[in-house]
Amino acid sequence: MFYATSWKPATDLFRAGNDWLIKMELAGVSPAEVNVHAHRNVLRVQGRRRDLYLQSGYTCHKLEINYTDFERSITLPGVIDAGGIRTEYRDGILRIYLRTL
Amino acid sequence: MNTATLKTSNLPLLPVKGMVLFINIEHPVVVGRPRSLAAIEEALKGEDKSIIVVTQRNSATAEPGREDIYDVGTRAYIHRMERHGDDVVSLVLRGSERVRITDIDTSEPWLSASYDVLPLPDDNSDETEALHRDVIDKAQQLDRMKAAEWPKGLLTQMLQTLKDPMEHVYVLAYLLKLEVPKQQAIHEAPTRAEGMRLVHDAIVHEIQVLQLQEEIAAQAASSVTAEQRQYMLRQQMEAIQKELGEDDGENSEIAELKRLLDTSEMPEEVAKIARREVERLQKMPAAAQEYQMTHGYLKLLVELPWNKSTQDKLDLDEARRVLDEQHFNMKEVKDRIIEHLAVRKLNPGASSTILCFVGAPGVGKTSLGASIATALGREFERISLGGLHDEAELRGHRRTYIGAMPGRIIQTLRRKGVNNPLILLDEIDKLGHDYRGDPAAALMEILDPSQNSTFRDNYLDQPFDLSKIFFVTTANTLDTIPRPLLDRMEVLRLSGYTEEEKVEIAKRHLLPAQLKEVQLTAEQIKVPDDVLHKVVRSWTREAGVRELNRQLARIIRKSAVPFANGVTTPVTVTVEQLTQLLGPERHTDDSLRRDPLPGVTTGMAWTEHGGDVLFVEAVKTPGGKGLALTGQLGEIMKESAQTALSYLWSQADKLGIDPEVFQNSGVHIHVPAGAIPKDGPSAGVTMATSLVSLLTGRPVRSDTAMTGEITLAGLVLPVGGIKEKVLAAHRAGIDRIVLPEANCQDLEEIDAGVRQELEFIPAVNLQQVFNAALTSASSTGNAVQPQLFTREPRQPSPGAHP
Repeated sequence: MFYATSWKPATDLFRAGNDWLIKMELAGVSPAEVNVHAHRNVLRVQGRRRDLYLQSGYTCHKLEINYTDFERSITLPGVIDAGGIRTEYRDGILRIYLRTL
Repeated sequence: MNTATLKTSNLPLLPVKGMVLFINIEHPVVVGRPRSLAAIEEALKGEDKSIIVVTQRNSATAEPGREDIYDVGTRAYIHRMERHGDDVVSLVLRGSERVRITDIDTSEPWLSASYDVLPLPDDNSDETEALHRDVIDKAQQLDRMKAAEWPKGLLTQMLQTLKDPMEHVYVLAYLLKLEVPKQQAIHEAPTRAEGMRLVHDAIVHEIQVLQLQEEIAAQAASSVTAEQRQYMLRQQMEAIQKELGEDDGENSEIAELKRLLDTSEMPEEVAKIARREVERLQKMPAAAQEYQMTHGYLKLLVELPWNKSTQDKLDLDEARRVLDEQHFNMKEVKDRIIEHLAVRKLNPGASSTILCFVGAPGVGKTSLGASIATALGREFERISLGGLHDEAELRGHRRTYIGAMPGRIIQTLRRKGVNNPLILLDEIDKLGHDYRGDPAAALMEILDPSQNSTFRDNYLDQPFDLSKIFFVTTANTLDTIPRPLLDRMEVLRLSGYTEEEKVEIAKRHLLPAQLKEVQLTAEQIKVPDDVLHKVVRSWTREAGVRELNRQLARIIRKSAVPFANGVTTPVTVTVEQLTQLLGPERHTDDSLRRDPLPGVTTGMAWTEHGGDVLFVEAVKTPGGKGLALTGQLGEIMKESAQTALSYLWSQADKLGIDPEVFQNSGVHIHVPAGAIPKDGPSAGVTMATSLVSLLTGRPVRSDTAMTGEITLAGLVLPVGGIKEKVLAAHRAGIDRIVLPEANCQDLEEIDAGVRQELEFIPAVNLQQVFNAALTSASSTGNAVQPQLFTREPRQPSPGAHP
């Protein structure tokens, strides 16, 4: 597509009854810059990746990692319990635990 | 946008050529210029890889400065980057915000720009809204038209996803691949209104161009295929025709037409049209209805005698001999024909006169026409107009109608093959007319020598010269012929025949024809003159000879029976056998009233069938009042009866009438036969004589017949049809005829033989009439019953004019 306002991180989705586990590939993103927000049955994750690992003396020959804003919305079959969302960021993966009602 | 408030004062600048980077659009760029490469290098050092992209005003400029680039550019993210060798880098850029470049710094190896972020326009107006909706409509249309180029429904889907009108504007501006200045204008648009208007213009233009392009493509395609199709169809047709064996037929038919066309003497304009039609014909399949129509038309064109005439025989003596041979007497008509021939001989170009023969049935009008043709050496054709009520019969139908045919005149010319036949238009007085048009109007054109040289038949659709045709028309009466038509003709009256003439005609023409019918000779069946006289007198009463011919046919038929049974001895018909052969005598000489009562007078009438005698009867009705009239009398006749009565009243003492009579009794006048309508002024004297006879008691001489119009002053005025009337009176056995003095010159026309047998008494006033007609002896009127006469029972016939 030639049209884009932001990039979308790759996402896995797991379910155990009403419990859901969502994994997002967000390597190099500072957790402080990730915003998780639930509204009814839609979970929205947005944020920004900055290239903070610049090395002087090197020139860039190829660029494939998306920097700047990202955004991902996930629609679930039930209303999300907004108070019960738990996030965990480790090894470049953001995990989101939540329950649907 | 979450970076809208950010005000980075400085970023590397990438001038680009031939493109404008719109917000949220990802677009690939290949970079090679050292300063651009350096700018990218610098941008990639930033944490979000952003760079300012701005379009060059002129793509030829290698090292653009401040003036060479537009003021409004785009802050973009470098989305992908790849280096190809040392000095070529390909990028994918994504537009993020519009920026206005405030300054350019050239101190580094790369350009760097100071800029202000321009917020997305968010103005609203009804006009913008309307434009926006139309843009969406148009975009969907465009989506369908560009189906080959774009993924299916790309634009429609995209416009549904996006919400902001400006996003629509930028997407469309990008996809329409507009020229750079237009793209830049849209990019720079400070308001939605302007952006929307620009993109609307662009999309409308694009659609028009696409439509035009489709049309051109379709035209090009169809012009090729139409020719190819025709060729293929023609090939197929040939194959089919060969299969059906029609191939040769069609070709020979057309070849024949072409041959005839070359030999025909038609005028050049007509030939041109004919050739065009032949060409058309060649392209048609022989089975098409159009083919038959065109073929028929061409056939007519080539067969018409455009320039073919017969040579007139202009030998006057020979012509007279032919006429005399075929028709007895008719001096006046024959003279006229000879005159006509004389004129033709002196001036071959003289326009033909149109003759109109008027006369009773059976006097030979039609056969005279044929004789003239023989005398002139022209082709003869008879067209009966009786009951014709469709103009198209004469003038033809337009070729567009199915089964259309040329009119009778053109058909006749085609059949006869010459353009100067003698055409006899029979019974022109019996033309009809109805909603299909008036054939008299068409006749007027045909018969007018100044118009008929360019007669245009509806079917033929080309002018044809009728002026060489010799037209002869016939009629029983002139009354029903439209005046303008009559004006174009020269009227020749054929009056009835006398007994002598009839006998001559019977001997010369009728008997030989009847004998030929039964294949016997005049030697085998002899019919002497006295028999003929008797037949004419006692079995026929007519102006012509038709009834006579029928009676002769009966005689010959009955006499021929023995020959059929094998008898061979010649037969001579005698007067005594006639009753046996023909039945009782139909008409007796004593049809006159002998010793009639006072008040009965013999008058004479002119009818369409010739002349006739009629009787006027008058009686007193004691105690009655005024004048009663019976016998189907017309207005004019009633008035002349009234005139007669008033005259008598005024002259009562001179005429020896008792004036008391008028007060004590009425008068009733009856004119038999009661079923036949009668009208006209010429019975005036007859009625006056009847009244005088009645009121004075002096009977009218039964051997005397009379005619004439009267006035209140007692004058006798001339009337018409004297010849027919006299002949009728002669047939009826009258000896004396009282007629207006002014009519005496008409007697010249009458055969001398008849004239000698009659006594004519010319009258100027009524007194002379009375003196001639009334007997001196007074009769009581009841001594002798009037002897009834036998009279042929007749059907009422239209109009008798006493």
